[in-house]
Amino acid sequence: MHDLVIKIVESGPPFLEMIKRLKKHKLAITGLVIITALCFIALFAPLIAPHDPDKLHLAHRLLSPGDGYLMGTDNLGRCLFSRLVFGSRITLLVGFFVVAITSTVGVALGAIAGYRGGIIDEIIMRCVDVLLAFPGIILALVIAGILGPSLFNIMFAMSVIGWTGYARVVRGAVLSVKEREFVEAARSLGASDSRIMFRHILPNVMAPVIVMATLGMAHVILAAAALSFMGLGVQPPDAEWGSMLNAGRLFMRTAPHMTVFPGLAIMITVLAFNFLGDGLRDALDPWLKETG
Amino acid sequence: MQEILVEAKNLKKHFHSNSFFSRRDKAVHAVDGISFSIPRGETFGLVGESGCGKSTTGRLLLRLLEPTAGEAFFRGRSIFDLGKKELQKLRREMQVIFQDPFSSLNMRMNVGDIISEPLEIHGIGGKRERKEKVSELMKLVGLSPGHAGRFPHEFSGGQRQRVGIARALALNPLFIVADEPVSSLDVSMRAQILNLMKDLQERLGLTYLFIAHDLSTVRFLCDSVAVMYLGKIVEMGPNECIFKAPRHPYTQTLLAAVTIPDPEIKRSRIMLSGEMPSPTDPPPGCRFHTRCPHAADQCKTIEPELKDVGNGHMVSCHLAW
Repeated sequence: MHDLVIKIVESGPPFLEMIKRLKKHKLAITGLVIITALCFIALFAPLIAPHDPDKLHLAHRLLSPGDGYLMGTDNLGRCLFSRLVFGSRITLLVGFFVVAITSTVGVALGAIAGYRGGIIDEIIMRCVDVLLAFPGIILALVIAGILGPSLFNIMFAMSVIGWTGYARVVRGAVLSVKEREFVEAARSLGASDSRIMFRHILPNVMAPVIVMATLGMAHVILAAAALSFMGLGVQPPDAEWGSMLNAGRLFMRTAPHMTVFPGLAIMITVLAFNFLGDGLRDALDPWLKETG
Repeated sequence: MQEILVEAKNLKKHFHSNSFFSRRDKAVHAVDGISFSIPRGETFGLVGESGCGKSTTGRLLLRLLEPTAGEAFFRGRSIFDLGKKELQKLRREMQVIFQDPFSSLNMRMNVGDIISEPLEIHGIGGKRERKEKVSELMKLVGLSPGHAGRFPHEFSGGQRQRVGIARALALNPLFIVADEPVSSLDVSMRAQILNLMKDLQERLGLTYLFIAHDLSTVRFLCDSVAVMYLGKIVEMGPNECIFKAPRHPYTQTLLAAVTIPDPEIKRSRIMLSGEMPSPTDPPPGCRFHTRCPHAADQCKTIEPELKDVGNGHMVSCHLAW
């Protein structure tokens, strides 16, 4: 008897292979579909929302879901569904903005620290240590306390601490990749530092960054909602899921829909990003192992 | 008299481990004063255990590392005095082939891009010319030019090593440092790659520094050989001298360890005891005395010099005559 050994040879550019593996991950695809739908809702909010999210209808206060309003109304008679739809804009904006800033700054500083080493590395990484010693939410409270509560200020506060995680991961990855022989080969060919960085090192450290950024979206959205819930973020009358939760808190017994729907919205969004992040990690893994 | 292409003079490289917060000054004496010269068109073998400094020597000659002391010359010009522009010119003339074909190719680039990168860096040719040059190089090393769009993970180890060789040849170099190019390949692949290297040398007039720990490949490929131990050359000379009449006890043990594919041949086995001492503080006197079966008293205190015992055969041992 001969055992027939079938060797599966994966072929094609690494990126396409990753997409192939991601497609097999059902939860990740679910997450991706939800995120796409959310982006769509945020983009076309004025077309989707049946009512003006800020218009008060004092006669229609605290209506239950159904009565002419899909998700009922709040204590000031505003359409809850419309407010949720418009709130998705702020949520996604905060998420993308903060992740974009933190990952860019973190990757840049981490890459410099790892590549240059020496005193520059020490300075950057000790800054990271100091920032990591701060409880994030307290720092955000302090910043919001000093600068005043606003959407911009909480994004700023979250960006100040958020980059540290990326910097650490990227520095570690750069340290390992820069010792690999293809980097040495590039140097012996006379490649410039920037060429080595952008063509050889960065493409090989991006996998963990992509995973971190996706999971980071969930984290940022949750933190932003928490800060808004505490009244530090978006100020009324602007619709934001966290502050809507806070507004509904007083009417939990009589109008539970005021807290249930924003809560669900936050939960579904965060879950979607987490699913996608997990899927990406699995899809990038075989390749992370080779890189590491 | 042949032209000397590459020459090293008393080359030293010590690695220090100090960072800003922890300052310890215990240098690793990776390469500790070695000299040799390689005539044009020849293959010079550098042999030794792992950690003896042979790869560091290769990297010094390529100026991937700055030396602690000593000089190296390429066509009579000092390698370490060159400015940026001159160094860039030098890079076109000397190239490197690495040991591990899995780590020496960037897996995010396709093979065509990998091979044409040197041309791109030095601004040689337009897009079309580079493409032609890539297919030419791929044919030269025995790869199908149609595979230029593939990625390194789609190739076998031997094929990847061929890609690495093609990359090294792209700039028409004179001198190639081959850092254990066949150590990570299986035996059948080894022969193919070695034959390819020999063939390319004849066709392109290449000069090789061949770094290896496997003596049979060195014997096959090299015109002259240097044996390194703990950052020093202990014996150096033409291929036949080293393999037929080794004088240094370390070389003798290395040769005794080579497997001969014939059970009929009787051979004496010399076993070394102990490990190689740490290169952070090499033993005084002869560096090999801690493991040498013949060590005498003078070996423990007086460091032997590299002396010519005839026909360019150099040995550094008090007892070798």
